[in-house]
Amino acid sequence: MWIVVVGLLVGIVIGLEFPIIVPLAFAQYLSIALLAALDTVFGGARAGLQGKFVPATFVTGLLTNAILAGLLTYLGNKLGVPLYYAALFAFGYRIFQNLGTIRHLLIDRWIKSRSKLHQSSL
Amino acid sequence: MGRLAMGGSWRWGLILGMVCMVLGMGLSQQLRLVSQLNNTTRVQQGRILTFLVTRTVEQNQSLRNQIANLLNRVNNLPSPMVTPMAEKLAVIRRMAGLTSVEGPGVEVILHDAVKPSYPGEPSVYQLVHDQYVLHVVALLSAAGATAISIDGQRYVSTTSIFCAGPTIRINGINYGAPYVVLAVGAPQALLTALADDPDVQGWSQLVSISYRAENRLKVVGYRGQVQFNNARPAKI
Repeated sequence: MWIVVVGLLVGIVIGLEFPIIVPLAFAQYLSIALLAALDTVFGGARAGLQGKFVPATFVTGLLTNAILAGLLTYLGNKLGVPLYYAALFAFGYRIFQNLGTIRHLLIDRWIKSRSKLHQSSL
Repeated sequence: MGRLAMGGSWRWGLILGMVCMVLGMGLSQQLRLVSQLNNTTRVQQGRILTFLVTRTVEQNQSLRNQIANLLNRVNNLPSPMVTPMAEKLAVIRRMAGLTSVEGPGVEVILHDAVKPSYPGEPSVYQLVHDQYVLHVVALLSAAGATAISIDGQRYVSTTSIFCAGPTIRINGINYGAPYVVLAVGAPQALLTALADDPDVQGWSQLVSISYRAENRLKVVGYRGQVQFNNARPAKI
């Protein structure tokens, strides 16, 4: 867990302090790749809560999702089909679904711990 | 997430950390890019212009309401003393071109050239110039028109018509082609004046000048402000 937080913080600091910014032309691809990555992150968090987290799945999912989303957006731009929106919709939907599942799992856990406390105090 | 440390080897932890680092970098880069995008001059200028336009439209509306209110108050002033003065004023306002008038007349439309240009024809020839409009107005006036407007601007004693780049400034407001000149007067006399004029005939070859008689035209009154900074009433 700590390695995730440390890695994220180090990355954010590097990104902020980096002397150059990603060129404007890549803004769209970067944003959709980030959305795909966020989707995988929430998926990973859910899997962690369910006790099914597999690092290999997480890392490969994150990279391939991000790269494929960027490539699809690029292809869409070349074809004149706004695939950007399709990716936006799909990933956005999945993020909210994952968030819902995470909420459910957390509530379950909380209720369980409360009932345990209750039993032990009896 | 306790299983991560247990199940995954340290190598996977390292890879996970690195991937998270890349993710963080992407996130912060995107944040910087978006904040920079919002600060570009074009976006800012657009925002400022939108704001100015909206504010001006609102101001116009409130001023128009104010004018309507004041006119209402003027019209409802107590009558015995005011009525003769108001009647006199109404006549003078009509003569000064401050009120809308209706009547038979002609409508002249001057449009930039619509035909394809001749080889080597300079583009200056294809545009309607201020002198064309001035000339048409002068012709109509000389032929007995009693009220003239150009693009909704009433032709009054202080009216100016002059070139302002690709547009023509009439009563201090810029207008682009087509220019619609409305004149109330005896239609036949006005039409003859236009048709017989050699300048209008010549310009018709270059740009599009069309005119037709109308049984009923409405020429709006002058709505602008008249400020006499130097002219003072002379003693009679």
